[in-house]
Formats: sequence, C-alpha cells, structure tokens
Amino acid sequence: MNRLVLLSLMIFGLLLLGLGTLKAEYLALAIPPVIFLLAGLAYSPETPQVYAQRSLSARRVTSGSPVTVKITLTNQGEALEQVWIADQLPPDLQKLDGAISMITSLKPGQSVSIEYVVRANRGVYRLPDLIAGVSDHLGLVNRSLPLGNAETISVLPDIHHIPGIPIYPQQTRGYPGTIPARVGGPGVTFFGVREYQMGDAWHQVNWHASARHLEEIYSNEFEQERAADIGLILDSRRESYLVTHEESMFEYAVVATASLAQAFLDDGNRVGLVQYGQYISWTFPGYGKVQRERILSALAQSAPGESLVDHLEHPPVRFFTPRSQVVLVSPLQSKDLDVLLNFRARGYALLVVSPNPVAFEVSHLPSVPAVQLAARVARLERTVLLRHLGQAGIRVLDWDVSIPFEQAVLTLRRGVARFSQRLQ
Amino acid sequence: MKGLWQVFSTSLGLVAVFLCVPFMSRGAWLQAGLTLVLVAGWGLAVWRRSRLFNLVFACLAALIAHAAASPFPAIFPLTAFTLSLVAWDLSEFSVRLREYEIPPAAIRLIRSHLERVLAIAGIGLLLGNLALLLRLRLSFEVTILTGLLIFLGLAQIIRFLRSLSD
Repeated sequence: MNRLVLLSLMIFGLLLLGLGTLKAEYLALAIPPVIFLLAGLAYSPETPQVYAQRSLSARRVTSGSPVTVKITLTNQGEALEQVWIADQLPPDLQKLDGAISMITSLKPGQSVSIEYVVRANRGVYRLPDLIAGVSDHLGLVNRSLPLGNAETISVLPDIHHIPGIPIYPQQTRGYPGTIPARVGGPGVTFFGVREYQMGDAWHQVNWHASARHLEEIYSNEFEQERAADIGLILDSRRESYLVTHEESMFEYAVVATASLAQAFLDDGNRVGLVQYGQYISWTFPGYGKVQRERILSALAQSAPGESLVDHLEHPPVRFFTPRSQVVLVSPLQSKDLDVLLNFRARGYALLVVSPNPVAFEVSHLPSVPAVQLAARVARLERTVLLRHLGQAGIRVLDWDVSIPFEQAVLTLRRGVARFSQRLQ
Repeated sequence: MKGLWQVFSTSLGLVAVFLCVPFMSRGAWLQAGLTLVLVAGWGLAVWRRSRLFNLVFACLAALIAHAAASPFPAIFPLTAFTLSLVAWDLSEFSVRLREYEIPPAAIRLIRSHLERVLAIAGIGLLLGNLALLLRLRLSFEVTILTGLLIFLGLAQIIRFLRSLSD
C-alpha cells in the first residue's frame, strides 16, 4: 500500500473521529502523523537531476568470458536523501562478483559507482534501461527516474581452430585461394601436360614428354587454386536436437558452424550462412573479418525453433551460387534424405557435418540391455541414411560430439587422402 | 544496520508496553493479547521482508484509537502511536536497505535517517502532549471552519505530495 495514502487515511480518520466525538485525544493522536507528513513535504525532492552511465568492459565476448559492468550515478541537482538503482540482469546471465544494486544518499555533484562481473554462455543478452528511484527520508514521496543506457552483451560461440577442410566445388571464383579449381595454371598440384607456350619457365618443361616428340616441347600444367563460394546451413529445427539436463546438441552444432566459417573465411573464401529454425534467417555471403563478425553475431543469437513448415524442403537455392559448395550442419533426420539428394542433383558439392545424436543420447543413458538394443537399431538406421548420402556423392562427417571437432575434422582429410590414393 | 534494528525493536517493544499497560490495567486481556500478536506479526513481517507490516500498522493504529477512548491517561496511546510511526518508517527503510546493496561510503545514510526520524517523532510527541494540555473553548462555527480549513490544507499537501510521487 502507498505509504502516503495510508498516512493520509489515518490523519483524516483521526480528525473526523475527534470532531465527531469531540474528544481532544483523537485530535492529539493526529498530530504526530501530520508532523511526519509535513516533514515529507519539507524533504521531498522536487526536480531530481540524476544521471547514470553504464559501461561494459566488452560488448562482444566469447562464451564463458567475464564482462565487467560499471554503473555510475551522478547527482547534478540538489542533495538527495535516498537514491537507489538496481540493474535488471537477464536470467541466464550469471553474476560472479560485485553488487547489481545500490542505495545511497547523494550530495550535489557527487557520483557513486557500482561494479559487477557477469559471465554467460552463448547468446545475446539485453541489459534494460536503468531506472533510479529517489525518495525523501521518510519514504513518503517516491519517484522513478528512467535513465536510459540500455546495453547488449553478445556472447559469441566458441571457435575451434580446425585445419583446412578439403572441398571440391565445381565452380570457383576468379580470385586466388586454396580450393582446387579444376583449371590448369599456376599452382602446386600437377594437373596435366600441354604444349609449350611462350613465357613458360624452363622448370615447367616436361622433358620426358618433350623427348618423345621431335618438333614439340611440352610443359607441365598445375591446378589453379582459387577462392570459392561456400554456403553454410545450420539446421536449427528443434526436433533435430536432443537436450539433456546439462547440455544441448545444438550448442555443438553452433560451435561446428562457427569453426567452419572461421576456417573457410581464413582461406579467403566467400562464405554465407543460412539458419533453418522457426524462420529462415540468413547472412549474405561475404569475405574476411567483417563477414566473420557478421556470422558470429548471427550464431550468437541462434536458437532452435519450432518450424512452421519443413523449410528444408524449400532450399533457398538463389542464396547459393550454382555449383558451389554447400556445408550442412545437422544431426539429420530420415526425411532430410530427399532434400539433400535434391541439392546434389542441382549440382552443389555437398558436405554434411552431422553431430551424432545416437552417440550423444547413449552417453547420457544407463547401459542396460534395452538401451543397448535401442542404440543398435538407431545406429543401423543412421548408418543406412549416411550410406545413402555417400552413394549420392555427398560427403558426411559423422561427428561423435565427445570427440573435439578439430580432431573429428581430421577424418575428412584422411578420407580424401585415401580417396586420392585409390584414384592413383 | 545494527543500530537500525536496535531502534526498530526498541520502538516496537515500547509500543507493546505503552498499549498493554492501559489495557491490562482495565482488565482488557483480549486487547492486550491482540496487541502482542500484532507486534509479533509486525516483527515477523519485517524479518521476512514482507510489506504486510503496513496492514499490521493500520490494525495497531485502530487498536490505539480504541485505547485513546479509555479513561486511562492519553499520553500512553499517544506515545504508542508515535513509536509505532517510528517503527513503521524503520520497517520500510530496513526492507528497502535489504533490497539494495549499501556502498561503504553510504553507511551514514542509516545514521542520518535514524536521527531525522527520531527528531520528527520527538517533535510529534511533544506537540501532541502540548495539544493534550491545551484547552480551547471554540464556538461551533469556529470549530467547523477550523476543521474545514485543516481538512482542505491537509488535502492540498497530500495532493501535492502524490503529484510528486509516482
């Protein structure tokens, strides 16, 4: 109940009682609360001029990094008897140290500060506008002062530095990079032999081939390495991911996507990101550090959502350059097979990084015969699905999330090496 | 905070004493028991950081008004009411203090609050006692006019304070 209203009711009640019963005792009883009321009037802050400033040690941090928040309250008006301020922390933001609220009195020109340290997992956290409260000594007149200064803390996903992933899109861009372009020219890997052309260096000349022909000289040709267009697709459908009390598989998928984006951008490629969740959200393709920041920001906000329609059935093919490389990060559902085959049929080079949901779930379940049998069936179903993908020319990284991603990626490189050996 | 608790518990204890004495002297055991229950409930509400103490204060004020009607000296209910005002103010203050952190430099906030509240309560008690000693003979018209003026003046003050407040 409002204190002022309660006090007023008492005063008027006692006055009415005194006048009604003609008893001086009631009128005398009304005097102390009247004095309280008059004191409230005398000490009430008229036009408080309080300003607040909230500063953060960092607005973009990686998961688990501490952020120091400092709030400074300055009084630029008359002396204030009671001033309080409290920061509203989002529930997932964990306070490590310091105070998030304060009550004090402020002299004219005086400033006070509070400082606290928070830590959070991946996500975007909004610290709302600061609201200070000002009151007289007796708490009869309370005022709220909206002071602005809303801030946002973006906690970016962890990035694992992974070695270059061998990809072979049919189409590359004109700029030098690290992706074999299936076109002869300057490079490192042997590509073929052609007739000597003016300007070829002597060390390029293939003397064995030239010795067999009296008239012509032949030069070795190397495979050009160029940058490529790479479209990353993060499956954000809630039904695709398992969640236990401690962790969610989606976090692993986000970490994998962030690590892949970083690796591809570091190699000079043009990378874009599409997320299939409740809605389709995309980050248009781009190069370099700015694009990396864009993708990481998008991933920081990413959350699994209930899709209204199965978006994967309607891939935004315009988003991906024809015959470019597409990397899908998804635990995969059996109904995704046709969609992925459709992608492949359109000429995209497809790589699927699939966090293994069976291994994830089994690791969180007791090892009893029923679970083992169910796991075996689920593994078989998954193996069949992955085999179908492999037969369609889709490379799959079946990632057991108990293994670090950078280590899991090495199997892709070894797979390519074995494939090359078989070709030779 | 220690000084605040001491003043709060002392004032609440004295409220119980100043109310129970007149009730018990008249053999009004029910009212005395009710006083003790309300005082205990008040302490519990503040301890639990609940603002139910406002309701307890209103009930206690009604009990004090009842005590003022008895033939016992009016100084007892007047002192009890003034002390309950102090306890009411300190209850709100302590609940607010526990909601927020107090920077080390702002400890004087508690001291100055206590000084000011006790001074205001002292003035209120003094003026109340003076009013009890003062006997004026007013005609009916003057009484009505004075009462009306007091009502209007207080209403204006309250309206102004409410306009300042949220």
